[in-house]
Amino acid sequence: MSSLTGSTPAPAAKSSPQGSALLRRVAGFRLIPAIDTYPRWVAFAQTTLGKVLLLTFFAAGLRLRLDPMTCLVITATVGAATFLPDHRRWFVTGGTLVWAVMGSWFDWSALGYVAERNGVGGALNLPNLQAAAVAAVFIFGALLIGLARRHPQALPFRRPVLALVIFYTVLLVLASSVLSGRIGVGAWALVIPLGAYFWFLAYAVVDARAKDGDSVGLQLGTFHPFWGSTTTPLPKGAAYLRRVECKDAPALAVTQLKALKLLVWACILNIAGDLFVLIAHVELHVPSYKEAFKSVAAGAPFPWYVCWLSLISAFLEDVLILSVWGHTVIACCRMAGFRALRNTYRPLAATTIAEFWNRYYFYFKELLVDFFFYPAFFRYFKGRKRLRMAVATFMAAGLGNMFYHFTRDIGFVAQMGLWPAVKGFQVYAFYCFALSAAIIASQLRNRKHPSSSHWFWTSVSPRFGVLFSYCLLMVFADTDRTYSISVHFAFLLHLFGIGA
Amino acid sequence: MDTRQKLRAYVEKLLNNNGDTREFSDGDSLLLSGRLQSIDAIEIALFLEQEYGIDFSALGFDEVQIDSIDRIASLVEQSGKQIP
Repeated sequence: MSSLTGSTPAPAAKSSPQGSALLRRVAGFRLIPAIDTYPRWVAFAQTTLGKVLLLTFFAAGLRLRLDPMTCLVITATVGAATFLPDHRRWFVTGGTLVWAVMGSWFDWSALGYVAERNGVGGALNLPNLQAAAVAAVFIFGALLIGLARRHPQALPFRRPVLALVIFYTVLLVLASSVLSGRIGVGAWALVIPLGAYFWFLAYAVVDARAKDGDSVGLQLGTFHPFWGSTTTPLPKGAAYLRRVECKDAPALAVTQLKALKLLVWACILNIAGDLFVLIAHVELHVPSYKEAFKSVAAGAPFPWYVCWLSLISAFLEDVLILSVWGHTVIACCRMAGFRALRNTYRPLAATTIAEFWNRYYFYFKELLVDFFFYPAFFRYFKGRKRLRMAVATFMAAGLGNMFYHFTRDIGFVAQMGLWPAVKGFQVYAFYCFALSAAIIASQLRNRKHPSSSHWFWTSVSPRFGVLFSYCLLMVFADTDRTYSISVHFAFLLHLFGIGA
Repeated sequence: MDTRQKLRAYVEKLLNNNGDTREFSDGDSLLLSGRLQSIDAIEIALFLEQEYGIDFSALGFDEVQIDSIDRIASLVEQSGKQIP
């Protein structure tokens, strides 16, 4: 795929001629024709009939992946943006508001626990409280964006993300440890949606300082846009949308053809994922990773090689699930007229852990880079390049990653209380430290040792090394707080035939 | 070698390291198009710090500032260096 409208290009391996020829032939194979490069297709996609057909095929493909109501909202919004491109951004805001009104995309169950614990479960109308809380978060966001635009030099807006982190942490401590009764429940009603919209708000407040920044209305349209996201904004915020928005009809035609291709690819991967699960778990009886892990925790483990098979299959399933989901979201975003990069791009081709993250979950990596890596890198240890790189990497892959996941799973704090939830986070915290160390080591190693020239050592061996390392790290990538870190180490040792 | 040529040579080296040998014009997007990654953005920023004394902690860093040769050249120009 060409990189001009969006895919993340694969850094080609530095390899010998015979290895390069083989890789080129493999890379050149196309399951889906490159219709976005056919001039007649691009010209036809600019006609009214072409647009209608493109939208029809896209809606049909989308229906294979999503429920009818979601399909309808997405198709109607991208249809409007296709025929009236001058108002594209306002249609995005409209579609996003409809999406927000249709129902919450995040988990409200924590509010139920808190209401019960405070003895006000029956006395409060929780759906109304939830709707009011979401409206309050949107109003808070609008106020914050307006203030940041008017007073960019005011203390909180000089470091807006740090100010948001402090504000959210204080609100969380108040809700979980200080306030009680109806006020406590009210505070939790704000903590939950504020956590869900945290990174959308962060992108918007940072962008509010830009000279060409969007109005509040357009900014709010990027708060979990109608095409989908998690707590990670896809694709980033309003600033990114402005930069990748199609400026003319040919660019829109190419981008929409790419969108259709990406959606078809998502459908193919979805079928591949189903087949993989069928073969691995039904035909070959490989236990799921959860089952394998539980067996070790219960002291009656499956053999070590079976645990390896479970771990590898879980890793591949994760990659497929994330790819299918991300491709669908980005396909919808492209169909709306934005040349966004793919969220997942050939992750198994990564030759370093850092590159794997870039390819596996691009927009999560971008979030960590934008809000943690860059600020640390450009502020601290400027005279010491390696230390500077290591500290910034730790800020992103370590601290940023921890903060992101702790706030994403804020329901654990409501269920368990603040301190037990922090304590239970030890496993994921260890994962963040280990991941940071692995990325730092791979960065330093790349600088120290120039690669050998044989294609096996430059292309094949590093890829297996990355997959092996990531599978090991995955043992600790657990935010559930069900098992202690010692159980996770027991599983790791069992993979090598030690203990259990 | 003038400043713009020097910038082009450096960016070309980064693209080649990524296996990207396609032509690029001075106005072509490098980062937003995905041809270069965040790690390359860091390399460019380090190069600009070392070669032209640009201080991103004071200026504020945004990948858009270095998204094309034209933009990088304009940044260098603002820092006080002459671009022929």
